[in-house]
Amino acid sequence: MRKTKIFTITLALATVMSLYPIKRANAILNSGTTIGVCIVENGERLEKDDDEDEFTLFESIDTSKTRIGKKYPYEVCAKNSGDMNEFVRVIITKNITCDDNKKISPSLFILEFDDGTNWLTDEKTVTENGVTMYCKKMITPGEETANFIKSYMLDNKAWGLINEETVTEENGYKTMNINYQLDNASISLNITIEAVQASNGADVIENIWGIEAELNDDETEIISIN
Amino acid sequence: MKNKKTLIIIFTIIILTILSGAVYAYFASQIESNGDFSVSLDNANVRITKNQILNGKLNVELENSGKEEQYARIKIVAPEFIKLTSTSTYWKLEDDGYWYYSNMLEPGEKSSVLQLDINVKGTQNRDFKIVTNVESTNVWYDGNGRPYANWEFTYKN
Repeated sequence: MRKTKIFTITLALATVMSLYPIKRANAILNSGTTIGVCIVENGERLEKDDDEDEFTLFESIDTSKTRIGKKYPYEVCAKNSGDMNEFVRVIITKNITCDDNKKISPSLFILEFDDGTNWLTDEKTVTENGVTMYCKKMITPGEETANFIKSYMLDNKAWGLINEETVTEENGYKTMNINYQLDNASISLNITIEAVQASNGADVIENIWGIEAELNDDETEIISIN
Repeated sequence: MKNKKTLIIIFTIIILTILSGAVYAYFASQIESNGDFSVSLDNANVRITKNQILNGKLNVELENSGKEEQYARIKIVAPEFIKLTSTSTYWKLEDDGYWYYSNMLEPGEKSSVLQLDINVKGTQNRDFKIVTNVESTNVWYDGNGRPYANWEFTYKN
């Protein structure tokens, strides 16, 4: 009888304590119960079919006219599609793949990122393949972040990457044919956007993203990351 | 003793429940997006479509027969007693001896005709040969998106 009593009390206590963090989180949030984020490319929110796992980039852009060395406006930002305040980070990865699998540096695909005004760059993640950036500002429901990508271009150096040069002669005219490494190469971009609740932000960021973030006094802005 | 064991089990359950409860209390979301495109880098391909002497004038016309925009220039090799001059639009003789076509040539586009007056020094009749060399280069862009010709990358036809 005594054992049953102890067990019942313990069970009740456990239930209350396990529900407490959720209750506390909701109480602090006081702004909804769903978190969501979406991607906005050149002013258009990207949509996907239900059977697709990922969003598709560059679909609304005529990339067939991409010229080496020319800068193209390419504005990408995140939008809070949930109903609670959130902090956002983006993981950007780019690659260049050739038909013959020859390695080409992805640094030839130049992305112009935010200059640090609105996004913090995690310097530890910077490689020629990409970067992870944290939006400084807390994003409210329906609000868009500042653009983390502003433009793209292919480096003029691509003209210097040559596989083979051949010279042919016809009707007294010599013609040099050059096979460029970047010819028909596939330029790819992957963007992962992650959002976490802004409430109790520093703890959540540390627990979910594994980094230490210093927030301002009213916990609406990330001041620094470590 | 038995009671003690039961208590330990119960408190372990409590601790685990609290910990799991704390983890699930966080809200997080993630989306992924992918995209790719390919680029085509064609050879610079500008050819001479007209190269004839008519009424004492040399007429040269070029055409961009490739798939990329091009800049073109011409060097005329002639004996020393020949002096070539021109007032043709869009063509300009620079100090390096090349006649530069100022406009970018779109794929399939022809240049305006470079018409050169052939001035022979002296009055003596002489046979001579004139050779026309064409060079072209792909269009480069500066930091402000303005196109320019980089003659370090030149292909001689």
